[in-house]
Amino acid sequence: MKYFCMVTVFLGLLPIAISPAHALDDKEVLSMEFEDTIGENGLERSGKTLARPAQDAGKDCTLAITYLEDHRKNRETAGGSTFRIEAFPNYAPLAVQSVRSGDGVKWMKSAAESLKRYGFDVQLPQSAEPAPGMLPAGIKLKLAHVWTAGFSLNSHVTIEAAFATRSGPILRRYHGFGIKTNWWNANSEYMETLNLAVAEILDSLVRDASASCKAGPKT
Amino acid sequence: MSRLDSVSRLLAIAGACALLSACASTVHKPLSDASRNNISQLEMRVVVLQEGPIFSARPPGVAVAAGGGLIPALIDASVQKSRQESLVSKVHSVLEAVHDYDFREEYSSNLSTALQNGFPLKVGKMSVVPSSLSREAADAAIAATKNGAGLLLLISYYELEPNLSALTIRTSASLWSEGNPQKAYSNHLIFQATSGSLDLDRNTELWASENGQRLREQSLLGIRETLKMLVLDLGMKEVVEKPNSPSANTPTEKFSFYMAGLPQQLEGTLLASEPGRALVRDKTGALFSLPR
Repeated sequence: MKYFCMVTVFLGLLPIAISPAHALDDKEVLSMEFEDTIGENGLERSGKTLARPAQDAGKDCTLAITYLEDHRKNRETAGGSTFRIEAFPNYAPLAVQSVRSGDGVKWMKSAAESLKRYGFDVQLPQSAEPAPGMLPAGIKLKLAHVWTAGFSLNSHVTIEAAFATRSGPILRRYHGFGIKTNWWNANSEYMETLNLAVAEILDSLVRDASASCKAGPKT
Repeated sequence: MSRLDSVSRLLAIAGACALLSACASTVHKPLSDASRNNISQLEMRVVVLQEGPIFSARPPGVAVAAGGGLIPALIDASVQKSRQESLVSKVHSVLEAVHDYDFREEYSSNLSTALQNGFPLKVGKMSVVPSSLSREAADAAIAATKNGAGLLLLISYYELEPNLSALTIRTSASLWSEGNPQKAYSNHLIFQATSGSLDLDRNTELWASENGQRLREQSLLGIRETLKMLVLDLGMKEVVEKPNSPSANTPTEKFSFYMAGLPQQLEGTLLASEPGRALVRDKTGALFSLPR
């Protein structure tokens, strides 16, 4: 039985062993470039497909981003890989490898810029006050966490956004989740999993920004 | 671990398979009295990689059932992805309830307290960090454990079971001294707090209610119990076992333990108990703090 288990685990993990050499590297910093890889169909949640925002959700709306900040408790890393064999009750982490985070502000900036594809005119933080008619908005990155589970990568990202509307400030805290198959255990796959979580958040943020614009910006 | 090429990864996985058999046997290497007496200055490093509680859907286990291979692994990944997609919409409220909770900070302050209250070794330096040690840094740190220095590495991992039926904190503890790459002490320390239900919706409500109070309380208890198990293990005097001695036939009991969200029975020796909780050593030497 013992040897059967050993052979089983060996065969199961063989694809990782023979994968290209660019595996998770604790010295390489994540690119922190946002890329939306959800696709047109949207995310699956509890057997349902979440519809993506309308392509013109940001039409005639100028988002004046007043701040983009990284408020994570830990900016050095963003989770990582935990090697464990979940076969017996006594299992515990045998080895871990953290994934090194890059610049969170750069990440949020590229995520904010991506809102242009919904028709928003996005003004990044600048010294000038937002012009009348613009929707002032602030973005804070609160948490970025990616972890391994079997043959999958999972992530959780938390972002806070504030919109200054005519009827008062609107504060939102968004949680996004990324799930993908861990093909090569490469740094880029960890980044992609984090980006899936951000993309889920942006879908909600786009709807809130659009509604705030329609309700009337403060300025 | 740093970047591995294909050959070394193959060797690492072969080693892991050997470890699998070790999991079924013993995981406990007691600290000898001589080692304990030799260590006059210990560096304690706790690695907590994660930024929040981990929640992972139950693995389908197709790859194991099929005897391994790429296609069963892909089926596993696909099924697990689908299960995780369902799970994330449920755990959202739990994560929102504990969005400001800092497990590392809690660990650090409780560790400081534990070190001031009868810790069996003299600790000179202590840290709770989110980053792993590279292989080179780990080798150098182990090599530097000379002239009474020691290195105690804890790797802690906390997760909510697939149906949120339990919070489990798993810690591997390793101690090196005298510049010896062989561990002077090692063990697995496992804490579990249960919700009392197998129903995901009910459990979600339980962990999320009152600003995640139960999850915060049980996480704190888990850190304290983990450190209690560590203190007990490191302070345990050496016992020379004789084949027919009474201690070789210590009576065992069965305790309830959740694996992948399902209740199972764990056989072990009761070491200590207090209202509602038992400290148990299983046949592999691992320590468990379990509700009872």
